[in-house]
Amino acid sequence: MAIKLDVRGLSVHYGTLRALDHVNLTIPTGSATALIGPTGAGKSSLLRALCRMNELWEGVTTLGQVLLDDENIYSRHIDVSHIRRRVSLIPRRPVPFPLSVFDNIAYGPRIHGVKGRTELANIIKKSLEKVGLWKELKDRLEQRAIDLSPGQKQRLCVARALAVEPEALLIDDLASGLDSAATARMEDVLLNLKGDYTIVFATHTMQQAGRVSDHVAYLSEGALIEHGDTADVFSRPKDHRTEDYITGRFS
Amino acid sequence: MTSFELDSKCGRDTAVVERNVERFLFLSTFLTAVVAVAFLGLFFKEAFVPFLFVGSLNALFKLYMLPWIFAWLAISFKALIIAFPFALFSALYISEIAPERLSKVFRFLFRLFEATPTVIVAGIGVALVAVRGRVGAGPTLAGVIAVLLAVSVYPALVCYLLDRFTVVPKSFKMASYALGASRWQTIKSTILPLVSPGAAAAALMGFRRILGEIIVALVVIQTADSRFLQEGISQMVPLSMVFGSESAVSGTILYHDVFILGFLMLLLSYLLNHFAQRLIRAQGGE
Repeated sequence: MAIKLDVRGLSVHYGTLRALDHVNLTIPTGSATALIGPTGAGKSSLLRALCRMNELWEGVTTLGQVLLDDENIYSRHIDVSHIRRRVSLIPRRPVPFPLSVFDNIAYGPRIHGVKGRTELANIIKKSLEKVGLWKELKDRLEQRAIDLSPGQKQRLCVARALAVEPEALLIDDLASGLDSAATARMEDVLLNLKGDYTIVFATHTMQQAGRVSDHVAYLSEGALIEHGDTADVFSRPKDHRTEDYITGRFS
Repeated sequence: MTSFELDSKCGRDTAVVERNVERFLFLSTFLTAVVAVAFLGLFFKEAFVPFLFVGSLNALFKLYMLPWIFAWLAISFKALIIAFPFALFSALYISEIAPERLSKVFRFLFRLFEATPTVIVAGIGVALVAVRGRVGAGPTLAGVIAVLLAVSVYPALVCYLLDRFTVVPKSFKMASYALGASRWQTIKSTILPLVSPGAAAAALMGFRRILGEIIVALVVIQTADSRFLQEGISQMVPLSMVFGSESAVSGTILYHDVFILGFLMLLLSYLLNHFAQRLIRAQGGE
C-alpha cells in the first residue's frame, strides 16, 4: 500500500516543553488512522506538525522529517501554504467564519483563485454533499454559519476543508462537544470519505477509533508507544501500556 | 465554645466586613456619579441659563465661537487623516507580523508614548513656529498644528487599534492558514474585515482625543507671528485672544461663550464615544 505521510524521527518542543519525542509513523494513502492517548500525549501536536501548523505557535522547534508523497514538508524550498492546502487540518472546536454558509465554503477556493459564482456554487454543492449537509442547507446557503448546530458546524468545517481539494484530512478530536447523534453522523462522513482521502484523527473514544479507523497509533507523553492495524492493536496489543489504556486501567 | 459556635462567629464577622466593603464601594460609585452630574450641571448653567433670559444665542458666540469650532473640526480631521493610516499600518505590523518579542517591545513603547503630556507637543509646536518665523518659509500654521496633533494622537490610535486587533479570535486565523491561505491572504480576507468596525471605532476615539488636545492649537497660535495667521487658521485667533487676554472674566458674555463652547465639545465627545462603543459591539469585542 502506498504511503501518503511518513513521519521520521519527529520531535516537537514548545520552548523547553517536549511535546513529541522522536516519533516514527507511516500513514497509508486512503486509510483512516486514529491517534489515541491521554490528554497531553501529543496527539494535537502531531496533527499540527503534519501540516506545519505548529509553526504558528511562538517558540516551537520541530526536528525530524515528515514526508508527503516522499517529499519532506520541512524542506526549505517548500511552499507552506501549498502543504496546508494538500493536508488540511480541522481544529478541535469547529470555527466557521462569521460569514454565510456559502462564503465559508467559498473562502478556500477564493483564496486559491476561483472567482466565478457558478464554479463556486458547484464546489459548494459537492463539498456539502460529501458531508451530508446539502439537503439540510441547500436553501439556507446565505444563512450565517455561526447559527448552525454544533454538529452542522463540525461538518461544515469538513466541507470547507474539502472545498480546497486536499489529499489528507487531519481532524483534531472528532467528537469534541458533539452529542451522540451528531458524533454518529460525523463518523458516517469519515467512513464515506475514507478511500478518497487519507484521514488522520485524534480521539479519546476507543469505540470510535474501532468503528472508523483502519490503523491506530497510541501516544503517551509525546512518545509513540504502539502503531498498527486497529483490529490487531485492540485485540492483541504488544505493549502493556497500550493494553492498560485501551482497557481503561489508565486514562 | 464549640467549633460550630466558633465557625458561626467567624461567618458573622465575615458578613459584617463584606457588607461594609459593599457600602464603601457603593458610596465611592455614588459620589463619582454625583460629581459627574454636578460638573455637567455647572457647565450647562454657566453656558445656557443666562441665554434663557436673553432669548437667543449671543452674537459674539456666532462671531467668535462658531468659526472657531468649524476651523478646529477641520484641523482635527486633517490630523486624523494624517495619523490614522500610519497607526493602522503600525498596529497591523505589531499585531500580525512582528515576532512576539518585538511586538511586546513596541506595545510597551506605544503605551508609554500614549501618556506624553499635551504640553510637550505644544512646546514642540512653539519651537517649530519659532523656526518658521526665523526662516520665513515652510508649511502653513494650520498644517503645523495638524501634523503636531497627528503625532500627538498617533500612539493612542495605535493602542486603540491594537486592542481591536487583539479581539480577533486566533481560531479564525488558524482556520484560514489551515485552508492554505498565506499571511497576507489571511490579513486581507479574515483579519481586516473582522477588524474594520473596530478600526472605525478607533478612528472616532482618536478624533475625540484630538478634539481634546485644544491646548496645542491655542499655545501655538498665541506664539505665532501674525504674518502666518491667515491660512485656514485665522478663525481660531479670536478665541486664543480671549484666553490670552483674560477678557473672559466671570459674568461677561465671553465668559458664558467659553462655557457654551466647552458644553458643545463635551457633547460632541460623548456622541463620538457612543458611536465608537456601538462599532466596538458590532465587532463583537465587548
